[in-house]
Amino acid sequence: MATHDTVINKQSLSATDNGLSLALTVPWYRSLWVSSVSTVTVAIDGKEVPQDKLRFRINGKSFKMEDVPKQWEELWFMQDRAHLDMDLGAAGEVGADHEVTFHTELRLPYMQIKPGFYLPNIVHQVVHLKVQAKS
Amino acid sequence: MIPGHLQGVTLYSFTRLFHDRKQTLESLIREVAERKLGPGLEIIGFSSFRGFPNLSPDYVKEIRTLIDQTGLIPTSLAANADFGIRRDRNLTPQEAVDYMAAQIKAAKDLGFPLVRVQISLTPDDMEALLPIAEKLDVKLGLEVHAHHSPMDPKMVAHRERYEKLDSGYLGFVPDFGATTSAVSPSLKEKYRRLGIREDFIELLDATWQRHHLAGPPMTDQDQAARFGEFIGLAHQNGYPDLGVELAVNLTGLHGHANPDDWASMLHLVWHTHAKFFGIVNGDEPATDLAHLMKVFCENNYTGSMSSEYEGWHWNWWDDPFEMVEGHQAAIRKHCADNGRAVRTEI
Repeated sequence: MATHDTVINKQSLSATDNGLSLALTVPWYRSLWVSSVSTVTVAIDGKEVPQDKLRFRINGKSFKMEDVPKQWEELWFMQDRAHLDMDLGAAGEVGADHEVTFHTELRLPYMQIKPGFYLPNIVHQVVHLKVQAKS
Repeated sequence: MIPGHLQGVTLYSFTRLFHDRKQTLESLIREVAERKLGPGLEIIGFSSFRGFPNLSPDYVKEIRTLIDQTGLIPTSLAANADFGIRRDRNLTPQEAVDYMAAQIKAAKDLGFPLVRVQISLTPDDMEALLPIAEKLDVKLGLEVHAHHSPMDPKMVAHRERYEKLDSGYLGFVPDFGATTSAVSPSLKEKYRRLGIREDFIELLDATWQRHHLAGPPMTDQDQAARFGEFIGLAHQNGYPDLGVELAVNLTGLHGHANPDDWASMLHLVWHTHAKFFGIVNGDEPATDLAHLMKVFCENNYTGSMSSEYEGWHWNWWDDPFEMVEGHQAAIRKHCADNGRAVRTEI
């Protein structure tokens, strides 16, 4: 796996009071503005988590998914982790195993291929993760 | 022997280690110095510095002290022209200038004499940035990166403007990926390790060779056609998920210009990206270092040169530090063959 196709690893899934959280590595070779994130979808054990039950947390701030592409002054530093917080209606169970299907599409803000169209980076990962303690 | 260029490296070569959090900025800088891969040190601002380009005075001092301690010499800070950060529109020309100016200021604060900029800047943008560069005494080098080439009409337009302005602050950063001579063996090795069919790998190679005979694309349409051709081949051969990656690697990293073409712009070059993908038997099979160093030595190039290991994108089995060591040794040898001693000390 290289920098452009890796967002989550074996330690990425952790429990929260109302669900689970995924720690995300920026899938590129440099830091990017959060507005570079076009879409994020996640399914746990095959069941997609609705967008209104997701929050994108970074730099001590938490954003609704619909507001993520508007964050062009918030930098996702290459060595930091963003967190995708999932409200599943119940606390996550530490030690449980889940199949996580993660999909994201980025828009690289310096690679304009033609007017108004920027090179995308699409990452799709399906992994089995064990829930870690609250981070 | 006559003194030649200043040896150096860009931390971009070690991106995989940094991205995986196996190394910090400090540990990378120290290891570069200990392994004597400098003295030139190049850093990508948006990769390495948290909060870039808005850096606190304390952080700037910390970085400068670290670099001073190691004896390394800052050569180039790579900036990015992120004109698409807003979703509703591109940055306006003034916003774009301000966006770049902040990075040039950060370079000055950190002690870098040159900022690498990218082709999305027009000659007018560069002219608008010139007063900032002059005021801060920081040179700007527009990277000539595949799929572009020194003779690309866009690059020629930049060169003509820089020559007309004759400022001493606007120039180019040649990237050896624009003048490759073959598809990197390590890239083909990656696809073999992934189990890709050999006949498809050979087809990709043959397609690249056909493009190579035709020369670099001279228009955006030519480039788009080649990009699309690789995506099409991936779909037709049962590897649709590889399409964009193949197109980027084979049109955006492996360029088709002749190394002789660099001579047209070397009078405007103070820093160079010696892009490479791997070392086999003491030399680089995809960038013809014998040819490249002949051109640079014959044109009396004495600026800085970063070994830029790009093979890390796909090569998970080799050590990037050993790759850079091998690359620099090969460059020193080829320069010596031309009567030049690469400068490895201040």
